[in-house]
Amino acid sequence: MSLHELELKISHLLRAGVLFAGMLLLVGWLWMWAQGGDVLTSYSEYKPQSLSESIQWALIMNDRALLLSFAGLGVLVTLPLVRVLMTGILFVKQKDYRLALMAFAVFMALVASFFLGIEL
Amino acid sequence: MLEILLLFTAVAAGFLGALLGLGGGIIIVPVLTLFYHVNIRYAIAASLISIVATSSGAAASYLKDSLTNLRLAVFLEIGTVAGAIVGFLISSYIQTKFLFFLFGFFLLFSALMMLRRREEYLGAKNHPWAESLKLDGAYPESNERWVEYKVQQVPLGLFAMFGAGVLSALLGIGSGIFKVLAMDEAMKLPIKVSSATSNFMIGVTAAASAGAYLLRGDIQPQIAAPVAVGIILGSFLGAKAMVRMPAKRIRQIFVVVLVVVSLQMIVKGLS
Repeated sequence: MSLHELELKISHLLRAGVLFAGMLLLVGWLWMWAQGGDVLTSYSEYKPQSLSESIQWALIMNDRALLLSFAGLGVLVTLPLVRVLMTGILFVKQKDYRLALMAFAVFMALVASFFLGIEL
Repeated sequence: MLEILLLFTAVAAGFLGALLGLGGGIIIVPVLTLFYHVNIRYAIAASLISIVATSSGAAASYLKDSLTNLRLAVFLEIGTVAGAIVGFLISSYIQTKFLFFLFGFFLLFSALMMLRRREEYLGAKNHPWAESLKLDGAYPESNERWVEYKVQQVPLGLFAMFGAGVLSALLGIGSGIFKVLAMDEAMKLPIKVSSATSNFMIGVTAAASAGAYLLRGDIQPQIAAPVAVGIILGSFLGAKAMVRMPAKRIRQIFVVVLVVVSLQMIVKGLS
């Protein structure tokens, strides 16, 4: 597989992922907007509420718009991680083990920081 | 109505971010806090989403157009991620006010240096590391002519990426501007390649932070959704514009943004 073929594969994955995330976010946002109008000004105060609490609340209230938006955000945030992992796998296929190792090292560091709550 | 205005602002931020290899946080954070009076934590969280969206949106086009140097991006990510981890570990011991001031002036100086350099300077010879890792490449110019480029001073570039990672973690700023500068000034890459490669890289580290913010509940869909939708649209447009735009014009726009960011940092350092 040539480098450009590798780049095209990642490009297709990214485009599909971004469009999917964008669609979820657009539908979720328009739905929330139709239900509640402009709510931006109500975020002047910081009210801590974890993701799991927010999702639980959305499930109890059957707030599908909020659930769709969270799904969109989830897809969007995981895309770069998938991109790094895929780059590593594709470098292995190219038998370029040094760059594959680098990609996997970056992936591991990102996944660890993701779950440990470290802001890189 | 407010959210529609935010959507249009995000389109502009995405366009500029994709064009220059930056995240768009320099527009999103001030707009959200100053015009919409959104709490700074929510604004920073939304700006992280804007970085991820810009990066993924633009990277799809730049990879297809051979503007992103994928091998170089993976190699330099090692420096950025290592720097970000070090920055996170030392952040509680460092007084950041002085750093804002210092690096504000550094960026201002860099802007002046870039302004003096009107033409692209492409290196004629690869650094041995670049030769070994095959980091050089070629990209299509606006007139469909392919321009080959070499990669110089790779260790300096890697060190600059480490520094960018440290600063990004210490100052809470997107490090795209430092990445573009390092690739352009130290590694002598064409500005389009620097910008596209930076775009690919910024999303990776921002995604880790965005994940942490998302789990903590700081990313509010009511704010982040219009920002992300606008940014995705803007980044697609920005990526298309960059292919056609002359390198000189991109450099001029970058210098203007560099001056704005440096002044923002100096003001933060003084306040």
